This record gives sequence, structure tokens and C-alpha cells, in this order.
Amino acid sequence: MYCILVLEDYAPLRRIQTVTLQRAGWRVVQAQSAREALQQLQRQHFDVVLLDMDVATGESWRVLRRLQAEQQQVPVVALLSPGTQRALELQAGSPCVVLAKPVGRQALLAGLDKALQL
Amino acid sequence: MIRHAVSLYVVNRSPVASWSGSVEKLVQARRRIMPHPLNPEEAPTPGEQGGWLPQDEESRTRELVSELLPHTAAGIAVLAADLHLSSWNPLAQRLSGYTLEEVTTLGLVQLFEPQEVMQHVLSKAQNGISTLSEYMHLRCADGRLLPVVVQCSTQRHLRGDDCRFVVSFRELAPLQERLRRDEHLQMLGRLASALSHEIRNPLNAIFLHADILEEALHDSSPEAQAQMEESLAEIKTEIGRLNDLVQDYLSLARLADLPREPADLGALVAACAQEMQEHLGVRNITLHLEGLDDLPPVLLHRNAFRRVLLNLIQNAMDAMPEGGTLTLRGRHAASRVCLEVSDTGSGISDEQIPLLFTPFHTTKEEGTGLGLYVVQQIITAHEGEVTVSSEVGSGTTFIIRLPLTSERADEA
Repeated sequence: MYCILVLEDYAPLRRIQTVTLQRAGWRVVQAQSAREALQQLQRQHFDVVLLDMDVATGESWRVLRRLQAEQQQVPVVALLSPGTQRALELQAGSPCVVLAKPVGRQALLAGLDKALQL
Repeated sequence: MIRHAVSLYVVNRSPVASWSGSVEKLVQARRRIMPHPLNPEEAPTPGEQGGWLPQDEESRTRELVSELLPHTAAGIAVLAADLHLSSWNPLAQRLSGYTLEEVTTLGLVQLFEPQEVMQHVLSKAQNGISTLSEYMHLRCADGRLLPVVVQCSTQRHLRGDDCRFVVSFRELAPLQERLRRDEHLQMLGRLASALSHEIRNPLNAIFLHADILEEALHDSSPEAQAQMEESLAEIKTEIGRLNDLVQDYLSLARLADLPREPADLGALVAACAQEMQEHLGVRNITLHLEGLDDLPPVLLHRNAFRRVLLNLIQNAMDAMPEGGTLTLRGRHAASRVCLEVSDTGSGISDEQIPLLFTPFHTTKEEGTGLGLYVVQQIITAHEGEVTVSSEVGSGTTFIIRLPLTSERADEA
């Protein structure tokens, strides 16, 4: 069973992401802030990290920078508002799949499969 | 007239509508391009003031200026070197309520407040120094003090041995109104950008719930049925949140045009409280109304103010999940009416209070983060203010202060 860390500050979305991923066979650990996410990353190994890059105050970027700085090669699936210029920047630094919000179940699971192959 | 306007546009490189009191600029511009016909060496060097203009050119320029004076968007007074008033355009008369003869009798300086500032503007002009913008009040014939921005420039005559002063003044209110509208549009632009992020989260949740429902449709197990019910409830909640976001945004968008009329604040508050009575009862919240019967009329936009009350009452309800008391209290002082909305809820910490009116800041799972921002913006548009006092564990009070209608303030 693959293990995924989900960083999302909007609770209703985090809850349904968790249900969707669990139903697809993933083991899910939830984090609602960068602090929580970084604690979890120190505590255990994850096969993929799901980051909502629109989380307030740039929290997800903090997590991503830390992953890059520590050279942790954990694949990242980044959820991004469409039209943003930062998608390229994301892909340049670490193994990353970028998905434009809103993301349905099929697109999300396909993105995770792709990330596992990075 | 159109021909003149076009030629002015070319010389001055600015639209005629914004061209006021620039007589000197125009004459100087024409001097620069027209050296003296008999002695070209006397043409002014760049940056030098004054110069020669052929008699017919100068006459034509002055004639043209005279034609334009009545059509400028500013009140204009032309004074001779001895400060004798020689021209007073129709807008100057309309703004002040005084005719040329009346201003001549009174003296131009008497029409402005503070008079010392106007005196200083004219003294500077006599020394060849222009005034670009000085904020003063125009003392109108009907007793009003009209905020104006004043410019003053010197118009030199042929050979520079005679001069006139051109004083132009514009009513400040329309300028401020335009500035206010520009700022409002900028605010809406920033909010629209932030709103697009806020909308995507509930949309994405609805999207995933719809996928779950689709899957559960083909599954008759009790777990699938339970999941369907949960997803439907979540979808309804998220749609409600999207609706709240749109409503709040529209409340802000409409602030640009908020006509107000005298209204009975107490009756409006009581009606809103009545409307919410059922919701309050379900949550075991007791409603107290105090001092609402004696409030004087205030200028309100009823629908906008109703939104203020509903947002504050909703906030109070959210702060008292276990029940409590909601108090709506009215009182009035010499020039202000106060309305307090108090709850006996959990209170707000000192760290959170400065963030309360920040757009999209929320501590509630289902909050839009716009509710209190909308309250603040609507109250500001009513020329009022909203403040908050809170004690953790005891409750919170929002205080709205609104100005009385001018008649009532005068009576007080």
C-alpha cells in the first residue's frame, strides 16, 4: 500500500481528498499546515506528497523548498490554480507533477500514478 | 469652437477638458515658436520666461482664451496687476453664487478660506511664482464652505511690462469621488483575484464528491448509501459557501453606488432580529433588544445595512455554538448613533483582533473570510466606523457608529 501526505488547509477539500485516496487504496496522512507537514516528513517515509500550492501564506512553497533543500527525492503532486506562471518553476526544482484545480478523481489518481514513476 | 479646441490640444498636448488656468502656458508656448519678426535674436532661449509674440498672434490667442474660459471645467477669475478682478467665468459664478460685480465689491480674497492662504497665493503670483494646487474652501453666497483646489498662474503681456493673474478653482468633491471610485475598482480587482482562489476550493470539493456519488450509484451497500448521504450534505454546504462568497462580493461591488436615505435604524434592526429569531431559537440563543425605540433617523442604504446586521448576527451565532445571549443595543450621542451587537460567546484573542477585518481571513471552517470585511466597507461607505471589543471566555461586542442626518446634528 502506497503512503501519501496531503497538505491542504481547506478542511472540506482535505476530507474528500482523503476519502477519494483511501477508496483508491492509498494510506493517507493529513496535514493542514506546513509545520504539520514538515513534522510528518521527518517522522516517516512517503511515496508521494500532495501539495495545494494555493494554501494561504505560501505554506506549501515552504514544504517544497525544504524538500528540495534536503534533496529528498519524494515525488510531489502540486495542485495549482490554472493560468499561474509558477508551474515551470515547480517542475524545475524537484520530481513534480502539476495539476490544475479543480481536479476530479480520475485526474488526481492519474497524476499520482505518474508521480510514482518519476 | 471645435477648430480652436483642436489647435489648443496640439499646442498644449493635454485635453481641453483638463486645461484650466494655463493661459500663461499657452501664451508662452506660442512665444517660443514665434520669435519677434523684426529682431529674431530677441526670441527667448529655452527655459527663459516671456518673449515676443506678434501683436496679431497675441490678440488671437487672447481672443481664443476668452472664448474658452466659459467652457472650462473650473471656476476662473482673471485679475489685473493691481488685483482688480476683470473676468469671472460662469462656473465661478455658479460655484460661488456671486456675480462679477459682487466679487469685485467683496474682493476675491474674501471668498476663500483661509483668506491668508489666498492672499499668499496672490502675493506669490505678483512675484512671478505660480501655485499648482492649494486646498481651500470657497465661501459661497448661501453660506456653504465648498472644498476647492486652487491654481494660480501669471499671464504676461507683450514686452512683459504688464501682467494678469489667472486664478482657477475646482470643486474637490467630484475629484475625491473619482479617486474613491478608482480605489474601489482597484479593491474589487484585488478581491476578484483572491476570490478566484477561494472559489476553487469548494468547487474542487464538489467535483470530488460528485465522483464519489457517481461511483456509489452502482453500489447498493449500506456504506455506499452512507457515503452518498454525506457527500450530498457536503455538496450543499459547499454550494452555500460559494453563494455566500458571491453575495459578499456583490455587496462590495455595489458599494460604488450606495444612495442613502433617512431611515429608522431601530425599526430596521428590530426587523432583522425578528427575521433571525427562528435560527436563534434553534441554537438556544436568547435575543435582547435595548434602546432601539428612541434612535433618531440616520442616512442608510437599507439593503446594504441589512447585510451588515445579518453578517454580525451570523458571527455572534457562530461564536455561541452552545447557546447564549445576543444583545442588540442602540444609543445616541450629540452627532452619532451607536449600535452594539454583543454575544456571550467564546471571545476573540488579542492576536486575532487586528486580523478580523482582513479579507479572506477566517478562523471558521465554513466562513468566507469576507463577512466582517463587508461590514467594515459598508459602514465606511455610510461615513461611519465599526470597532470591536472582546474578552476571551466572556464574549464580543461590535460597535457601529453612524453620523446623524445633518438636520438632527444641527438640532443637537
